[in-house]
Amino acid sequence: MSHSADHADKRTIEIHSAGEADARGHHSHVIVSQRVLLAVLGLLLFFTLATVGAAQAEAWIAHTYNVVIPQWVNVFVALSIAAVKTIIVAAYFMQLRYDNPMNTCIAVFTVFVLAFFFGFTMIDLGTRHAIYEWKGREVVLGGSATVPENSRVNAAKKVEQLVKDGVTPPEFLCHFASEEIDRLKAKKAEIPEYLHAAVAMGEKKYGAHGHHGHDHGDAHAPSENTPNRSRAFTGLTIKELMDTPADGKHDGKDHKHAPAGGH
Amino acid sequence: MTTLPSNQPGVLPPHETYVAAEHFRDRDHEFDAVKMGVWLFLATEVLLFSGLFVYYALMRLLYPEAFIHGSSLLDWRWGLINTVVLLLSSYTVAAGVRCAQVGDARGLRRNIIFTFIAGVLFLIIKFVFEYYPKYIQGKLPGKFYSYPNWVSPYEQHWWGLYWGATGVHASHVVVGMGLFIWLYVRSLKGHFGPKHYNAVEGVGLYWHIVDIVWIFLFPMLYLIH
Repeated sequence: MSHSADHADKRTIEIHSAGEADARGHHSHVIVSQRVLLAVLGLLLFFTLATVGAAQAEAWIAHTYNVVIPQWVNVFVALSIAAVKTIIVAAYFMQLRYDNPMNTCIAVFTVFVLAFFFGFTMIDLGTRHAIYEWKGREVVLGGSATVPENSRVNAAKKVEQLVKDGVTPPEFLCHFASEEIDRLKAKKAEIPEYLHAAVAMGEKKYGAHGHHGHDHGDAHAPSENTPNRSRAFTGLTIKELMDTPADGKHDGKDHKHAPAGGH
Repeated sequence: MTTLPSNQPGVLPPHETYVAAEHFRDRDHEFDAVKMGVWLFLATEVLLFSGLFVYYALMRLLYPEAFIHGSSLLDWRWGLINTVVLLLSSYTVAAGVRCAQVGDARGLRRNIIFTFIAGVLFLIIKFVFEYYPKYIQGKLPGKFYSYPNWVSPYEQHWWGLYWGATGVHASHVVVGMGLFIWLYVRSLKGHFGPKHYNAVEGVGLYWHIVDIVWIFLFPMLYLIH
């Protein structure tokens, strides 16, 4: 540094807080001393080496002692050191400590928004499999442009076919529920509560061994479940379904018998 | 040395005669407002990167083996060198702001040059030692991926994240370097002094955010074991 800067170094640093003003109401801007800047740089380099050291140590421990260290340890250590580094960069290099507190509020608010973003996204996407097992975690390679079996598009086609076969709207639920029930039975899994009503309705209408025959030929049970597959939508927007019995559009067909052949 | 306003005798340099814009009470008011405006912009920059970070978190949660293997294909030593380079550049930027505050124009320009050189070094390391080898080995994002030794079929996600996050970060570095050129030219014209150094402060803040993002990217990309 040049001489003038050296002299400036040695003069007294005004450690005002941002709120103080002189007689004329002017705030003086705090000049962070070279020593503080160099100390912060030293700390940052130290923490960088600590991050690398921690990662290497973790790998070494895992290899030498043959233990499996869970992933979250790695993430937690790395992120906490990174957070400390960020705080000292923001406080000293970006001079948040010496500045208008509003800027600190803005920075903290940003972190708060980040927490919301991360938190809600991970709560949603990280736990989809907990409610419906088949809304599992794997994302299909190639993306959801491949239309899975119980997607809305296929559901609409099936509904169309059902309508042609004369199955009325309330029974769609039964139909799609029966697919799910068949899938569960094939896996010898327990039928969950919300399907018991569907089982009862199906058995009432079509007998205990019902009309499920049409779907056994399908090898369409999704082999990979994806978060993008939602429950088949039973097509409330399809025109045919807007007709209610009161409209008199119910035809006189016999709905007691299963549509033959199905799909 | 060319004749500049800052070195003509009897002529006050522009930073001495700077008058704040009309709608501000005084220079201090303008300084506070400018700084707050820059902080608000930095908040949006952080949110820009946070989109990538959330995607990273989700994909790492879903496909940890892809990330572990993908990270092992990166050389953490280049990442460490880049981190050190950026931390040094953060220091030189803060020192440059300090020079502007005490009126040391030469020191300010020197620090701007150092920061610029650090940025150049960062980009050279990134492009020559990291990007180019990966490009010729086929470790590319998404559908361009062609590296044969994969462990998990979801490694394309990893490489997409790597190239996306570091690419967006590198473009921010390039923008920052352009800003430093602008600052250098303005400093030559004598625009910066103890009473007026808004722009130096603002660009410094931007550069620190770029550094902070890299501080997070380094362990997240290079140090997964």
